[in-house]
Amino acid sequence: MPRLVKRYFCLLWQQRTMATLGLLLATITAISGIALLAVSGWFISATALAGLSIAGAHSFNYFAPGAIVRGLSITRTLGRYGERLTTHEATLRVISRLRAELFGELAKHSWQEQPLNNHDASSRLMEDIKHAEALYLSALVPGFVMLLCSLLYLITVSLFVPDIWIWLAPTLCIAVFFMPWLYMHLVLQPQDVLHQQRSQQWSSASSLFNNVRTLILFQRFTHSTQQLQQAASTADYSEQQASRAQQHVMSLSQLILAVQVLVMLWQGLLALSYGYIEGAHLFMLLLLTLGVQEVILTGVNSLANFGLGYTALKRIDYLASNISKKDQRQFVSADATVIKVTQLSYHYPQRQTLIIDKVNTELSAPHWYWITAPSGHGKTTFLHLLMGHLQPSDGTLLIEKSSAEQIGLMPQKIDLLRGTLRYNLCLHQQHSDETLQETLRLVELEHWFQQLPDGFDSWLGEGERMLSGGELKRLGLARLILQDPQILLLDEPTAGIDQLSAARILSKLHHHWKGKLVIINSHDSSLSCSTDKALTLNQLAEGVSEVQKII
Amino acid sequence: MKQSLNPDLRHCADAKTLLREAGKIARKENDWLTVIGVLQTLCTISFAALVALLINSSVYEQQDQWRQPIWWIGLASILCIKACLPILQARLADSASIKIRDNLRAVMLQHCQQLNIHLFPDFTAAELSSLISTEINSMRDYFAEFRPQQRLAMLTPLLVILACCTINWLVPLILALTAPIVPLFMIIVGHKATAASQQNLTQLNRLGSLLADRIQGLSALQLAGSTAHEQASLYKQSESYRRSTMQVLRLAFLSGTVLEFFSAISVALVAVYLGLLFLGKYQIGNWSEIITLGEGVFLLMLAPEFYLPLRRLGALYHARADALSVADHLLRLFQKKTAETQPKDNPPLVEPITSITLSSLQTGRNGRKIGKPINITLGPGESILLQGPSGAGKSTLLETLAGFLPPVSGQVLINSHVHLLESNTDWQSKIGYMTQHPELLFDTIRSNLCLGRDFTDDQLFAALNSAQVAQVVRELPGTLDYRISETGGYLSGGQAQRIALARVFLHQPNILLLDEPTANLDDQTAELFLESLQQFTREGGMLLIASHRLNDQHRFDHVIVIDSAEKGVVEKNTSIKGDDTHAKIS
Repeated sequence: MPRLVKRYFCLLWQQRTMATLGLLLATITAISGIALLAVSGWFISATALAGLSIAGAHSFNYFAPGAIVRGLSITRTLGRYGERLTTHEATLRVISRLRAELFGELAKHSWQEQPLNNHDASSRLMEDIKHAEALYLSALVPGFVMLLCSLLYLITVSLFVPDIWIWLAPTLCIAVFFMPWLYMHLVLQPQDVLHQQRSQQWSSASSLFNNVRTLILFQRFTHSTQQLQQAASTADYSEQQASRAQQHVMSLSQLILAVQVLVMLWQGLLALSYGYIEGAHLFMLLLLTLGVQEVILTGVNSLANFGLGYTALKRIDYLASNISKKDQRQFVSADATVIKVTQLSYHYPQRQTLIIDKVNTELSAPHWYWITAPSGHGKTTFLHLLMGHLQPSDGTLLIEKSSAEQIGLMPQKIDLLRGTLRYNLCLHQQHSDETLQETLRLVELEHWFQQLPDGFDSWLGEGERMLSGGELKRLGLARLILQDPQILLLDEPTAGIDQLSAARILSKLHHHWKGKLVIINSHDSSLSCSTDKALTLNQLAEGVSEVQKII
Repeated sequence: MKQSLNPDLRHCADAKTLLREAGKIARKENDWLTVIGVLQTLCTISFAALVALLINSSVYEQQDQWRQPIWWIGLASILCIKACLPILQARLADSASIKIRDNLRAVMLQHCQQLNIHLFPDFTAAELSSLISTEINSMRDYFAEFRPQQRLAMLTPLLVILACCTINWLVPLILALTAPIVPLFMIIVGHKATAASQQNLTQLNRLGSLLADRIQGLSALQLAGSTAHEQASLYKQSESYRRSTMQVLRLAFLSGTVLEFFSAISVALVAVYLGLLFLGKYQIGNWSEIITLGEGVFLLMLAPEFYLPLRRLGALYHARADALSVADHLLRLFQKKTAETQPKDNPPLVEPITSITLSSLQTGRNGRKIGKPINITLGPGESILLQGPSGAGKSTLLETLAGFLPPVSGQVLINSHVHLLESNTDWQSKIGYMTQHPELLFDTIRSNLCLGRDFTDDQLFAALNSAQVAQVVRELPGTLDYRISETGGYLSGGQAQRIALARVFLHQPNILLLDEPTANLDDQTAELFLESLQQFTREGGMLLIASHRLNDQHRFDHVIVIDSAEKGVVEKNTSIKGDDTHAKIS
């Protein structure tokens, strides 16, 4: 069983009071609904027969059945309401916990090697999780009710006509066991295809709307809209196929149940003619059968719903169970902060060539190191290896006097989260306004800050205020300054910032980060200052690493 | 597209009208669905009638008629028809809903095509993508199930009442009297439920976009080591969504419960009424003096059928609420008016283009001026370098020239004729424009370069070579067939940018507008790239490039320094190429 399915049932167990109550109410509702029909049927038949003779009509006690009928109808109504509320409450509680846990799960992994498909991930956390709701709500509850009602039905009917169960059991078994299985068998596959095509449709749409300018410039907009329509039609067709398969099974179920009604009626009439049952019982048994069939029909898709929920959870599980490699970095305590790199090699999965090829070097605080290499030669990869986001294919990384928490990275792409400026700077840490202002001054964002309408409470992010490339970089630097780690890794910190400001900011940072180990990857080495060291990731000369002073 | 588009869809006043108009697209299917629904009810009524007759003869009159096969053939065939009709119904319903949704998508895309760049920033790409896929898809239940059921909810009870009327007048009267109470109740409850469910949908969207946002920014949270905090706050959000959902459900289920109550109580009422009638406690309600068991059976079996279609409709409450909110969203898009069509006096572009003149061209966004007016003329083989700090207006100028922004004032003259460049497709097909954040399709490199047109691999590699990215592509798994993922995959920012540049080169424009093409390049690659640009101008191309690199000025014929607005614009024109005496201005 996938881990997540287990976790789901674990969470459901935590909500067991609510869940059992829901199950109980569902059963009571179903039984009272069937009983209502059956008792009513018996009542009118019995009164009609009693009414044939005046004496019978007088001695008939109609108060008790009348009260029972009214009682059952009220039980059914209230039971239904309570059942719906409790089952939904239980499900939603499980789901909201599961959703948060899954986010935590995703957050545990580093997505450098196999980038996370953002839309896929978020749609799974929203859409697939809805399918997971089905596990309890539309699989366990109706399935359980269906089985219980069928069993009770067989027992009840046998009480009146002892041998009738032999006749009814086959059709009932087919309807209760085989049909749900067939339904699941026929529906899961097209549903899976549909799911893929729907997400294909989304990505065509996303591609279109993210590339509007390009498509207009190259006059390909119409072409792309046609492609999108095509993708949508394909998915619609699959949807139709899935719906058709469902309907076929449902109709087949109805046919089997029709056979059951006829058999029941025939056997009942036969029993009546032999005098096994009273006349009043025949109509009651018929209504009992019809009532149970209504319950069975709602339960036909329960197994399929279970399957859908199961595969949905499996899909999410697959997303979250991305093979995380063990952190191979070694941390040792020492007097000074030093990173020792020996024979470090790395190649991306699916790629043959080593992007980092046997690099040896020693980086020690307090120094600034500039990684100089042409673009695409592993500068960013090297930083991710130091950060532990990637694990080396070969070689060792020894980090002295620092822990994993003491290494901070400013990535190339700074993510702006939808939230206030304060949230975007602190990211759940606590900092005073003075500290924040001081930090903004360091990265020269104070002018930009002054024109914000609500100061630190101004909203940023998509649909709100967006930042330019240079402003984003400064925000990234500010985040790192606030996190205040011992080893700082900067990936293209000044791209998009004009050279004069970049030089000013870097010189302020030299002062601010005095005594720390800073490793910088920038294509603009003219920004480096005289005390900085150059670090060459030399791929060609084997095992050679040069640390040399420039200028 | 076989069926014609319904242009009226775009001019609907509110969401309800939009849904009604859209529903008309599949009128034929809807009519057939009604017919099938009526047939189904007729089957139910005749099944009840047959069963009633059978029970009457065998139980009440104690005859042996039931042994005749004709009864069983009749019952079996009715049940067969009743079981098979839903297949037809599902087919029709599916094709109706597909037809309508296809049409809605087409209308939406048509509108988007007319709005093109003006879609933004009012709508985001993610929002539009989910509107045309997830949201329109979610209207399935409404068009396939809710709308056909809506008509049947009127017709079926009517048929049941008519059937009951043949025997008795009190039972149909009881049913008919409770019937108006039901919709009244549903309206009262439903009104509140709609408002609450609207609010709930907003909550759901907010939760969804929050999740999407946090997943997109996951690495920032990871780097800050605060994912646990974020998880806790997401849980809180999720819980508040649960509470609001439960609020909606409490109301929504209430309207269902009202129906449930009436349907249950009607069975009870009819049973008790019939029982007492049989016992001879009173003599009201029946047409004839004596009531037989068969008549009673018939009435009792039909009583729950009266409420069945209404109950089904009630179970689909969410379909309507969802469809209404999607319709609202669509209307918000449709109400954004398309840009006024191009003035007719825009003269056709005459080839070849020999000069582009900016005459006091003032650029800006939303009427706010950015930078100062610019006067300059560019001829074949000439290049202009735009310099200045970020935010000074370099990108705005390029965007204006690419026809994506209207100028605030001033004109652009092409071959000495005034042309309006905004949304001018003629002009846009002549230029190659690359933004600071180039757009790439999440598709193979090949389709990114070709954009659906045909090129040979040699042509593709030649273009990749000019953009200094051919070697990178050769090393990728699958080379030209490597799929670029949403996050870029193995491509670094600079490499992605150069692929976009290769695309510009591939389509061989006469005029290049490049915004910071060297921002993510190392010095060596940047040098090589600038050389290939010089090659381009030597061959007669015209070039406008924005860059913040200070040491490239000698490579360009003109340098425009756009400083922050208050300092004004200084233009320097160095007519001799490679003039190193050109000073830095600011």
